[in-house]
Amino acid sequence: MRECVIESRSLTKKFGDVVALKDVDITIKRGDIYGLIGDNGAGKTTFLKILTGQIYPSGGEIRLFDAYAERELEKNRKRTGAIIETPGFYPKLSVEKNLEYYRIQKGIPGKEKVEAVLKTVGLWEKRKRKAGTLSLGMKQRLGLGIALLGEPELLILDEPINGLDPSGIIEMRNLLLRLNHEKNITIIISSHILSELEQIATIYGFLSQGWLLKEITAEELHEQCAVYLDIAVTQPEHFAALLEKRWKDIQYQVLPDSTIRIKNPEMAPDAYSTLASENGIGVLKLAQKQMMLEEYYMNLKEKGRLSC
Amino acid sequence: MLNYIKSELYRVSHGKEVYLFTGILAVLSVLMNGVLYLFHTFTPDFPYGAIRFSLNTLTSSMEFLFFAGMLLAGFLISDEHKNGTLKNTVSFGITRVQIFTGKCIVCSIASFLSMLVIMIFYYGSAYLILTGPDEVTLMDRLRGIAANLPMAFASVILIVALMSMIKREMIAMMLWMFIIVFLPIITFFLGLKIDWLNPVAEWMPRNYLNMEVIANMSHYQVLWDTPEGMAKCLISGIIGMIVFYMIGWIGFRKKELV
Repeated sequence: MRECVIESRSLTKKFGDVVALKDVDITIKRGDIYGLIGDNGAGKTTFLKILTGQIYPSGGEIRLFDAYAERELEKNRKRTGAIIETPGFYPKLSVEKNLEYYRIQKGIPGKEKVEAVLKTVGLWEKRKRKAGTLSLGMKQRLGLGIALLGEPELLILDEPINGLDPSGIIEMRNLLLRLNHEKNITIIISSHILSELEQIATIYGFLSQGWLLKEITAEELHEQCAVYLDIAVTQPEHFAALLEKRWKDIQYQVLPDSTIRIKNPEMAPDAYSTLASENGIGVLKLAQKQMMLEEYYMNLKEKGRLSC
Repeated sequence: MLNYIKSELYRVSHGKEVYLFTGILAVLSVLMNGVLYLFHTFTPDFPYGAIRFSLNTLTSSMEFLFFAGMLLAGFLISDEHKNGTLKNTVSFGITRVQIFTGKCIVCSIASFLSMLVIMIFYYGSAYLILTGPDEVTLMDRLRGIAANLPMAFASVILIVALMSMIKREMIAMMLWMFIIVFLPIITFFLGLKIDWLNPVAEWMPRNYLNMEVIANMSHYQVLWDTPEGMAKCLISGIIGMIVFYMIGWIGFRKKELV
């Protein structure tokens, strides 16, 4: 049984009359990479801010490494590293001095730790530059560097790939995966870029308007998400009629580009192309796909419940 | 909290703010004495090129210590909200009370050291280039600074408290001005009508420095020359430190960093 690193129970946060989080129950175990998904205003940052102690919950409780009393929470936050919203640093100090400042603050012995982090996040060459003069992507790296100081057991990352260029995104993804695999660092990460989350998260939490709609592991998502077959043919109406005639319970839809999408096809793709050719219908495209995170999320949002 | 104080000392000593501030004020103080010297040299019967005048001007303007402390502390902790650096520190599990206390300590140390340097330049240039003996001993002069130091620290604590609680720094500085300058004036005038406010007004630094300190070319009569006067300055400053610390402690203890 893996240790619970984060556990929230009926976590609620109100800003005046606005409910930012409502009865959110989230459990994250050691070694998980938890992808927090939701639109703007869904409550992702609010959850992460409560987790990092920047704001206080209006109700419910949050546990960090099994502690929930305020003093214990503060103590256990020393085992975490975080970037919330934008990375925080002193713009007039150099990159190296910013890291040195936080190294001293965290009580980490050994100046060589700064050098190691600078190399890990790819800022060694820029170490003498003033932090305020860095590009947005470099600032994100610096933020990650600050979070990584002290070898945290838990990384809390709010939109960490904002502003990164494509190679930066790939580097960040590989770095997070490496930290997770090699050091068993637990990560909670929010991002708007679902395709990125899909490549690293082992469990997902879907937030909408302050409610946690669903928590699902990557394996469950894979199992639950529908396989579908896209067929583009020369006579879509005729082909649709043939499909209904041949398989009465078939579930399909005609997409705007006239492609016919068959959901959870019971037959192999060949059976459908054969049906088309036997009836003189030309097959232009045939592709079998599996619905993934983006579509799952959109479905969840639309229906307000899990349905793939 | 020790690590937090160490990190803040590292930041302050590696930033330019404290050096710029101290350098500018030290140069200005030397320039002021230099101007007095030039007038004394080139203007017949110019009476103010004397050590006594220069140092009495400083003695009669002890509120300068409060303003200097506020300005330097303001420079040192400005943009903390904007830079997002407080978020990092809180995320790392350092409590808001530790942050506030640490900042008060570091800003007080920096302000004190800065004041020492400025005073060395001020007194040094006055004794070096101005004329005449100073009837007041250096020890008496230093006693004046010592008497007002607690209130100078209180001023630093107040600006740290206000800037921790209020994101907009200009508003924090205006509030500081109100509390240190205008509130004593208002209390003084209200004290003329309301009896019980009168002693309160008398214990406010701005008021006693204006009413009970006379230091000019012909007079030198200062509050801290008597034990009672010295005690009044020290007690008033210590009360200020406690009250302003409590304001910061209460206001920042549960402050949400949104």
